Amino acid sequence: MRLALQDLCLRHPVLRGHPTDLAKCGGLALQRSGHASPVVAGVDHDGVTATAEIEWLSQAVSVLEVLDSNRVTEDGAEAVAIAYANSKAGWVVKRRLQRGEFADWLLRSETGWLALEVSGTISGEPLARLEQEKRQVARCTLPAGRLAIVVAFDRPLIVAGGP
Amino acid sequence: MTETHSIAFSEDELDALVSIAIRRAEILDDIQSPAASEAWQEVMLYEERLAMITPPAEIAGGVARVGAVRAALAAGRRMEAVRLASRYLAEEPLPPERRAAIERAFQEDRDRLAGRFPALARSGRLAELDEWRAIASRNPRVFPLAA
Amino acid sequence: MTMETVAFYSYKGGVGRTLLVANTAQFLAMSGRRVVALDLDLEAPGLHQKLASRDVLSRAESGALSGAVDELLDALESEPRGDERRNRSLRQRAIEVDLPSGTRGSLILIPAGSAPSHAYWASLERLNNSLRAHRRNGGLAEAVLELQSRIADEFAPEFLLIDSRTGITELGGLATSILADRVVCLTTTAPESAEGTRVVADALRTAPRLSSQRPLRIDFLITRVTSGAARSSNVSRLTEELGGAVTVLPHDAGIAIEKRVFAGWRSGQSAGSEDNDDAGGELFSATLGWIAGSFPGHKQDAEMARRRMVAVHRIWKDLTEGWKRHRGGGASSRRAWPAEQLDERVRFESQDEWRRADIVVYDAPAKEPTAKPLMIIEYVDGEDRDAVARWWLAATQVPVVAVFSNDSDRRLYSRRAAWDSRARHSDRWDLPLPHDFKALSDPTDVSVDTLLDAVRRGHPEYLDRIVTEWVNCSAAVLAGGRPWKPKVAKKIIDELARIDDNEIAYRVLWAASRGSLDRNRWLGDQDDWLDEQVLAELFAPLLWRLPPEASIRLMQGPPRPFGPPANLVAIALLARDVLGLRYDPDATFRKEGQRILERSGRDSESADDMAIYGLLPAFRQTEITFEISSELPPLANCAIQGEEKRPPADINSLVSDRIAAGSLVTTGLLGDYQPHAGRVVLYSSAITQCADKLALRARHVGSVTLIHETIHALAHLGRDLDGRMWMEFALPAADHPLFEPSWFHETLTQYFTYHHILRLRDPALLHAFQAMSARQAPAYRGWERLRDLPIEDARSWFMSVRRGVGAAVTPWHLLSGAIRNED
Repeated sequence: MRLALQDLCLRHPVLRGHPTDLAKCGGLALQRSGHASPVVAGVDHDGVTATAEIEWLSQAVSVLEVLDSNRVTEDGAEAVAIAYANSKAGWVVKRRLQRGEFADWLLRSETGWLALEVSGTISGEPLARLEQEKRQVARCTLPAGRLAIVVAFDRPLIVAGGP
Repeated sequence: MTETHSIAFSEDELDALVSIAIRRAEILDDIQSPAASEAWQEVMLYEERLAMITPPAEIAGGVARVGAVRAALAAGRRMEAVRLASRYLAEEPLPPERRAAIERAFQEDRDRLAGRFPALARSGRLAELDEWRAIASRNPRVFPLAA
Repeated sequence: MTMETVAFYSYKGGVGRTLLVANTAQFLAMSGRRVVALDLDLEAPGLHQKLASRDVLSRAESGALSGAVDELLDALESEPRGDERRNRSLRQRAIEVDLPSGTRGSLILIPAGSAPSHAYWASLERLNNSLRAHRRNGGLAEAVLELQSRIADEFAPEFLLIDSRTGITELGGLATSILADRVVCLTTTAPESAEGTRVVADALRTAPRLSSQRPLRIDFLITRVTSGAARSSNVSRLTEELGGAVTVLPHDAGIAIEKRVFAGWRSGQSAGSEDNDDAGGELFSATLGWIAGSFPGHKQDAEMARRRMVAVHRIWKDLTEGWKRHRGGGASSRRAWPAEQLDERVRFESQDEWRRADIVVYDAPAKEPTAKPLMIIEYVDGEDRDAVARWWLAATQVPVVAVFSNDSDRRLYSRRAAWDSRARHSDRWDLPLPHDFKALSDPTDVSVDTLLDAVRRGHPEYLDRIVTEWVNCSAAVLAGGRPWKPKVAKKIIDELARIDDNEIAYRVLWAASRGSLDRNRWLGDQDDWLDEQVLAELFAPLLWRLPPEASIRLMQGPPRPFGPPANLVAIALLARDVLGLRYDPDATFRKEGQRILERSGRDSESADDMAIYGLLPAFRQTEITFEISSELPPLANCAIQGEEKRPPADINSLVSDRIAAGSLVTTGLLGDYQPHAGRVVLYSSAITQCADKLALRARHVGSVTLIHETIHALAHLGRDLDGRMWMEFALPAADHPLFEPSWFHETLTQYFTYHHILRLRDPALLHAFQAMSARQAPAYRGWERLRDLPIEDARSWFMSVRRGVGAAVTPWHLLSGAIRNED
């Protein structure tokens, strides 16, 4: 599976004009963890493992000095997660959700709707974080599928699963 | 609320706009910027526009309606939130889950206010204030009333 | 919540709202209630100016006072958890207002903040910004309701009184529509105020309420109504339009310039009540009545509170307006206390105890840090006043303590008089004024001796009090009801008569001559009679006994505001009591004037009919005038002897020679009477020389001379019962070289002078008269042989000569020696 972060806006037009460049954050988060494009990330989706090659346009890491580190991690994770969801099952971002919906994004495909909750880490145990995110997205009451994704940039590893 | 009826946005455009506005409002909220209130008001406007062009029974329409109420509360425009909620709850096709989400939004707001105004909450008048706002919003009088 | 919230609102400012809030709060607290007063007039706060101590006001000025604005900011800005602002009790920002000792109620003030400091306005701006920017955290409605709930929780008051903002504002709307159980709307009849109030009232009547609230009660007060407007159609119409409970409060012109609670009721210039001795005038009574009626219950406490406020108000009024009865010797010299030297509700602590003074009088403006208290005044109800006074005297260094239990039952205690542990109150019942602290070593001591001493030392301000004392000891007793003290009365006259200073002597005469104005109004209809007594028994004797410079100055000066001129009365009394004649300089005018009018067949057409009153000067030659001259007397003037002119004699030598030769004369040397002008003249140089030579005091020689020459004048111008003057009266010309005094005139005049001086009972004058007489020419000593002649017999002789009957009834059998009968 190939996750081309630079194509994010092409595949998800809603993301154009987004206040933060998710793709750029994704690249920065990976570079911050010492990776260069492209990098092979592990994937664990509900216990099923795979790999995904993540590529991005190289970023000037000096930018990391002025950006909020947590923002970079979370926005970068969103970029990777959205790219993964799109690559895996063709999910396209419909719109962002407000925090009270217990999910970050609403995506759609020919098969229906998906509420996506995303988080990123640069260290620590991503599977434990995934459980937290799954519990969070489980509270989403929308008539949609629910998926939680955690991106661990240090590995890099993408863990995903539904509640 | 300022309506720009001369500009008709498509649903996709509004989706993009509301996504941008939500992100911006959340960032401003996180840094406790005084501009956060206005940012949420912008979210409210886009959500309200989305609600106007999406049916209540559809997921996008449901999200927009709850989103409008949430955004109004986040902007501190409680009279507006009550008005929007009254309107949306009057739409029969609105799914029960969305109705519950609207109520939950108000409850969260009340809980937040109760945390900030514990004596008022203990007196039981915090809930009465919402009712009062609802009545006052239907009967505008000479005295400007706090939203 | 059992607390009742009352919001005081006005559409326009300047209607007395804040003052009413303060006074209502005071009254309720003094009535035993627990009260919180909250200033929500954030843009123009002023409640702390009315209720807080000067300490607190200083803190406000320096920006160190926090209040409602800060509470609202904390609620909106602080984090719900972990923020220490959340743990702050309201008590840290509340001010406990001092109440009278023993009051069961309490009054807590929550000011707006440190107004008018810059810090306050910065906080207010922050609040406005916070409300705009952080609306998610709640708006003004949540914040003020939270504040109200905390007040109820922490203080459990029975009443929360809110001073709310004028005009149409969000906060004003919240305060009246959802905070309040009752709204008191103040307005004037001015159209801009009345119209706005009507609209707001209509809005309030239909404004939604919280579901747990009762319907809003609205009371209306129409303020600043002048006495003429009270019955006008404007007021009636407005009352009808407002509907509901409407009370009208009168206008008080002085209220706008006052700053503090009681001061707002303390103007003495209430419309139509210049001499209103009632409880502070109409405004005071009306306001107190409205408060008591609007907040019923606790009747006994409320009545006590009302009594207290009325009494303290009267005391303040007395202090700042003085008391007219005891202004003497010129109103400007006994000024009342300046209001800025007074303070109210001041707490004093001593060890573990404290008391609250209702009023403290300072020696300088109260807000000055170096101001020292001169007098402490406390109203007590049910406490031992002596014990209270003892506490004050022990706890403070104040010279005077006044303890009163109603506005007229006052006791004054002096530090100087408290020589042992017993505090004994003085006899003085009126409150000392500033001058008392300067003139009297003990301001509470107003005994006759002390006041006389003060006058002698140059403080004529006490003359009215002394005159009143004289009246109380003597003349007034004839009306009954008080002890007769003739000894004290005589002492007063004698001590006043001893005054040598001409200026003070003049003030004495002025005080004694002013009639019943400001005196003994309690005698009512007997004022005129009392006036006569005072003139006859006090003024007239003093006129002849005091230095003639003062007497003549009074006789030349302006007349009394009403009644006949005092000097005319004194001279008329002399004429009547000694000579048996009437002195009436206007008699000719009245007679001729009446004749003119009768001839013209009309009455005088108006009070200013100058055609008639223009005649007055023409017929006034029969008035005696008085003068002190520094010129040479006639006897010393150039006299023509044959063809030779002699230069004027040296007065020193003239007097000395005459005394040495036993030929001293009064008329022509020490004084003179000029019949053609009706003028009595005293020659000061000659009098001084004579006094010096005879080791007498010049004032006594002058007084004897004045009496002597006045008797000459009265002999001439006084009228008998047939209305006749002595038209043929003539005295030998003293500037004639062959001048010899008239035996008849001088004998009789000396006789009458002697008897007049006897009646005055002035030993010094008598001594002077006798010392002079011993050195006088034989014509002046003839009286000695008539010493024991009854006055009526002497008068009879005098009248017969006057009528031209001659010496037929002359009691010459009592005389021996060569006596010339000039008639």
